[in-house]
Amino acid sequence: MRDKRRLLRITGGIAAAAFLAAAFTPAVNFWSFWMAPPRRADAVEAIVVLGGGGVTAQGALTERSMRGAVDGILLYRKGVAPLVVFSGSAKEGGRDEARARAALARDCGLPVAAILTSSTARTTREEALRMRALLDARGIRKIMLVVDGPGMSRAVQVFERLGFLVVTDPAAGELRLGGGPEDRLNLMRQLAMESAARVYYRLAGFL
Amino acid sequence: MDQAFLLLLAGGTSAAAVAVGARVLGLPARRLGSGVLRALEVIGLCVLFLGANLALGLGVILAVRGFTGYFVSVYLLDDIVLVALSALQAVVFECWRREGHS
Repeated sequence: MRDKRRLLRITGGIAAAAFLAAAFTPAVNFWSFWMAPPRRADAVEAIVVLGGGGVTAQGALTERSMRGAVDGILLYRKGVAPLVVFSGSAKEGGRDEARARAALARDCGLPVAAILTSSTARTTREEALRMRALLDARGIRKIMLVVDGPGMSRAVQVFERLGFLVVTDPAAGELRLGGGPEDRLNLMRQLAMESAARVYYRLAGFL
Repeated sequence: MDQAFLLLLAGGTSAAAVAVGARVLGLPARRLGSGVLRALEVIGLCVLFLGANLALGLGVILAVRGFTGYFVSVYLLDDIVLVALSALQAVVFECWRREGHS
């Protein structure tokens, strides 16, 4: 009984220390930076914006999804690639994320011919498979991935495993020390989810 | 500075709580340490409940995916409410344990 209580105290102590370190020190910022893959920016054949955030019940892009879409649009505007592919599925019969992003890109002046969508994939692995089917037909192999949050490294590995040459958005690998305690705790939650996803992908043989 | 303000705020109310506990409620100051250890036990319980909830949730999601072919997103578990519920479970369990031993 005493051992169990001691174990609970140690667990609680570690959790409390981790909470304080995550909220009040830049530890999670460094963790996030460490998880980002080192890739040089280079000219590519297509910009691939992976799904993330989805759309609201009213059919509008969420803030997170909008951020990814805008990143893709700006990269196109900078001339990184002549094609942007938006990914993102629909939730329970709602408007799908990829089409909503494509609509935003058209409203921002991107030509229709420069936009592709993929709206059936629900996981990173499925997105990679769908992209291969979509881009193989166009002979496209070299892509730039745009991923919001700490999922970039896993996404890069999944896409490379399927034969893509991948570079990442240069901004994705930067060390960002800003943000308050709440931002850092959110980042820690995302990093924890991403770490679990990596374990699952490794066990499933996707990496 | 913002972060220091939050810490100072919590530190200030903690100090006030210690003063009220010792002077108004007559709690022995030397037992504060064991109170902190008890609190760590509750936090530890919270971690255990959270781990159990996540493990069960992941198992259910993977089972539904595997046996029915219906896709359920693992991101359903990525919700701060689960942490709050786990904390609630830990507090109730600890209260029950104390009642059982008193």
